[in-house]
Amino acid sequence: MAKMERAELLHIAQLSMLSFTEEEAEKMTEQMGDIIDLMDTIRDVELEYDDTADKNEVPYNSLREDEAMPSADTEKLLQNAVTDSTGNCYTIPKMME
Amino acid sequence: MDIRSASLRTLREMLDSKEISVSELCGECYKNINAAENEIGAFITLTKDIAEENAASAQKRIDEGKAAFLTGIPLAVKDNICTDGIKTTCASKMLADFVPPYDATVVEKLKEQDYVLLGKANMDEFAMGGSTQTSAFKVTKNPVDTSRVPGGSSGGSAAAVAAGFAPAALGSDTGGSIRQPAAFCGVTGLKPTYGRVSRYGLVAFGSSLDQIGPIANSALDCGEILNVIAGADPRDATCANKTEADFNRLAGKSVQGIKIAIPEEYYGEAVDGEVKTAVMNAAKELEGQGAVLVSCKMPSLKYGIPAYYLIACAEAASNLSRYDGIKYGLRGEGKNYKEMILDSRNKGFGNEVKRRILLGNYALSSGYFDAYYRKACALRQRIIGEYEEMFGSADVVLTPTTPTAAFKLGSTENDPVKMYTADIMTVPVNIAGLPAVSVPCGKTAEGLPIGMSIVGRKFDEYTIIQIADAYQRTCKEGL
Repeated sequence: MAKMERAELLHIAQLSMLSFTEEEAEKMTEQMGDIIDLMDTIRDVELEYDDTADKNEVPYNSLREDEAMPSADTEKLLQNAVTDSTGNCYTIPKMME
Repeated sequence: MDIRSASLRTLREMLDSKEISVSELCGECYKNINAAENEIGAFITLTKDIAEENAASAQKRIDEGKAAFLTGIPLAVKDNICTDGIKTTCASKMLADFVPPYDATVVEKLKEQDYVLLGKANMDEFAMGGSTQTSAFKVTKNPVDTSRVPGGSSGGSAAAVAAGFAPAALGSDTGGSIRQPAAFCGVTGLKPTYGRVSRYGLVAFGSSLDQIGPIANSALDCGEILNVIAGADPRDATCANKTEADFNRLAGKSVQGIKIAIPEEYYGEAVDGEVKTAVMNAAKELEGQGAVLVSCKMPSLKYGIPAYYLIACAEAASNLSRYDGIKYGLRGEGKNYKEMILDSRNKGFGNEVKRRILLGNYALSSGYFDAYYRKACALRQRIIGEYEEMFGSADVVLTPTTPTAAFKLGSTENDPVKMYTADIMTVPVNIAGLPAVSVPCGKTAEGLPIGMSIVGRKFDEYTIIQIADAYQRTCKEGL
């Protein structure tokens, strides 16, 4: 298996909402190549995932009763965000040109 | 007083009998913190003012004769566990100023008992690392040898206990992050069964692997904390609906006839000779107490690292996609929405976090999904099967916690592959969702602690605490 190519790194970075300078991309491509080499040790294992075999000792999706509960405090929820002058809304840069 | 030599039960009795006040006990912790924290760097945030308020409430409750087990007991809490109104940074620039609007369920449970919060402990950024060197804020040093790492990712929690800053701490364990730092620092760390403790309010890394647990001076102390934090939670659908009983209920009972599996792959060439000798000596000690050692095999151990990293990073890539700088977290700059998100993530995440997001999205991307992610899930099933086979002929599995003792600061920082492969002993336990406790079992010639891991069947924390306690009752002196 070939190591990760620079173009591939940049593609995955785009999917990951990350970007790199030229220098960072060079170093990251090399490191990710080494990491993919380590991961490649499982590629040749002859084994298929069995969708029916997972045991659910933990009751995934056992949902709680749908009961009304007090809402969280707006001021506390917004304390970590950039808000507008009213303090009641998040603000973000424009999404469309 | 020596915080390290007093058990939580002893502290409880001292508080209840008024031999010591909560304020005096906290004073002892802060005395140790003031003397050595500049050197050790165990905490990201110290909460002395809050601790004083907590201490006053706890003392009132004790004076009224209504104390619960952790009333007035000072604890450190890893900085990826949300604390209402107190910064929870995950050791990341991304969350450097994040103040949670709610408590994690485990913190709620501690507050119900009127515990005392000493501070928020340092860690690897987003719990990604095994040395606490990926923290964006500070280096934590191993109190046993300050030229070495404390392990990670719960390195601050383990260092705080080892340095006598706190009698116990909360950590979290996704691939060994409680057990490995406990082993490196010479303290005891317990990773509960997946689903035993609510993950609500734990900043998510690998959601099918993450689990909160205690780090303390003994297995019994870990059991006492687990008694408080375990239990079903309607806010975490993966938290098991188990009726809890005293996790220390088997402590003190003989280990006569208990079967201990020794998987040969864990004692191969990759493991340091001194580590092997110390763990096998501990096994012989338990055999001397009546336990039965059973040889067994775990052939898929060699695939543990890739299987773990592919699953954990795939989950991390998804979990960390929420950090866009909008509702919380570092807000970057940009002319438009997309530029702002890119800038937020570029500035907010450190290199190790970026590498893991990239690996996760690589494994999930079209063309690689079957070859990597699905194959890792298949290996997960095989590893679970191999544990089931071992538990067919044994009650617990005994392994070294780490292949070596604590390594030098800076020695793995720029070598992610070396850093990942060091997790070989601990990750299979997370892959299978099992409980495990790391117990100090000796020292290297250089005086560095060595840890052994006792792994149990799902939801059988009782037996691993029983065995760990049986060992610690006879062998704690000199460790």
